[in-house]
Formats: sequence, structure tokens, C-alpha cells
Amino acid sequence: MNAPLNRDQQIALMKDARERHQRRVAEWVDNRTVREALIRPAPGQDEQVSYERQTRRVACC
Amino acid sequence: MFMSAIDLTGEVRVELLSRDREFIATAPIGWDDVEGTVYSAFVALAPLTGYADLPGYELVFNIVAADDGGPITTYHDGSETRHLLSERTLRRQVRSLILKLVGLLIDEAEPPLVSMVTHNAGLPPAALNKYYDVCSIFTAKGYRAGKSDVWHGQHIWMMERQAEHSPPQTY
Repeated sequence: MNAPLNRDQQIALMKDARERHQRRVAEWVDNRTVREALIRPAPGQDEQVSYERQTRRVACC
Repeated sequence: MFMSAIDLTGEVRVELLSRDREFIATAPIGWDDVEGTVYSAFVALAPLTGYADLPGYELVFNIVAADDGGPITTYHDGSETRHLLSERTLRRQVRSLILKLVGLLIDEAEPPLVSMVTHNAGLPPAALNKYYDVCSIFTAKGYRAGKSDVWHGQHIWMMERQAEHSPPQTY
């Protein structure tokens, strides 16, 4: 069966795969929406025991 | 120290992003409990137009390390992430997650033709297994899929969508 890309096209893809991947990924992660998705804390990462906080006024004299 | 975000139920949070025929699926796999760096599985399906000017889409997958305000690092090779994913169980879970993300993107984008090329040349046979696994996801979804001959240590797979109800085929 024939491949959908001929051999010259296949070689063209393989020849600069590393550079192309790096260029594409750099563009993707440079996008704000993508970056936000990647830096969002992982489930479990932001689980901290929080303190109960109260503010009171007291007479000091 | 790397902390896994994949809990005992195996559930993870997946983000699906799309723009101009580009599709990205990402899911956190863990974090560094000192630095706060988030590690995610990252899979993208995007047209080759403008990059190699060939027909169809290209599938790219890797592990991304990101923290707020810092640089984003990508790992394309299992040898680069072995220090993070030191447990075999975790490596299996991450591989399974990447395959799930690939399946989600296929369903979302329904690409007619997809190419997948190894990032690094000269990968050992064991490192190629994940590419074969990705290829098998396409086959299971009705694509004609297969690998071509190696070129200077680089490998390429091609997946072409078949008409519905066609039996799975390989090149």
C-alpha cells in the first residue's frame, strides 16, 4: 500500500524534526492561555492547612 | 522532590485548548515540592503548513516543566525524565495518560492525515515503543497507520483516516 507522504516528504519531516518541534513548542508555551494551563498548580499541590483568622479590637489601657 | 499528581483513582485534570486548527491537550502529572515547578504531559496536533509545508497534521508529545514567571522546559525523551519518573508504575501511568490525551485530540480534531517524527535521532528500541503505542491509538480509531524506513536514526509514522467501517490497515 502507498504511504500518504512520499519518501522525499518523509525525509523533509525527519531532517529538521528537532528544530521544528522546538520552534513549535516554544510558540505554544509562549501563548498566555497555554502558559496559564501549564503553571496552574497540580491537583494536590496547593492543598495547605489554612489558619483561621480573626481580627478583634481590645482595650489596651 | 517530585510529587505525583496522579491519584489512586487514576483521575487527572485535562485541559483541551484549540485555535486555528491547532489542538493542545495538557494534564499535570506532578510537581516539585521545593521549587513549585509543575510537570505536565503535553500533546499537540497542528497543521504542518508553515513549518514543513506538507499536507496534514503533526503530532508532538512531551513533558513540560513550568513555574510561574520562570522559563518553560520541555522533555522529549524518557532518558531526560527518568530522574523525575523514577518509579516504573509512574512511568506507566504517564504513558497511559499521554495515550489518553492523543485519543482525546483525535476525537476533537478528526485529522485526515497525521505524521509523527521522533524528536531525537538514534533512540533505543525501548524508547520507540511509546511511538508505536501512539500509532496503535490511531489504528483503534479507524486510521491506516504505520512506520516508514528509518533515516539517519530518525523514525516517522504516518496515520491516515479511513472511511467509516473500513477495517484497520497498516502500510
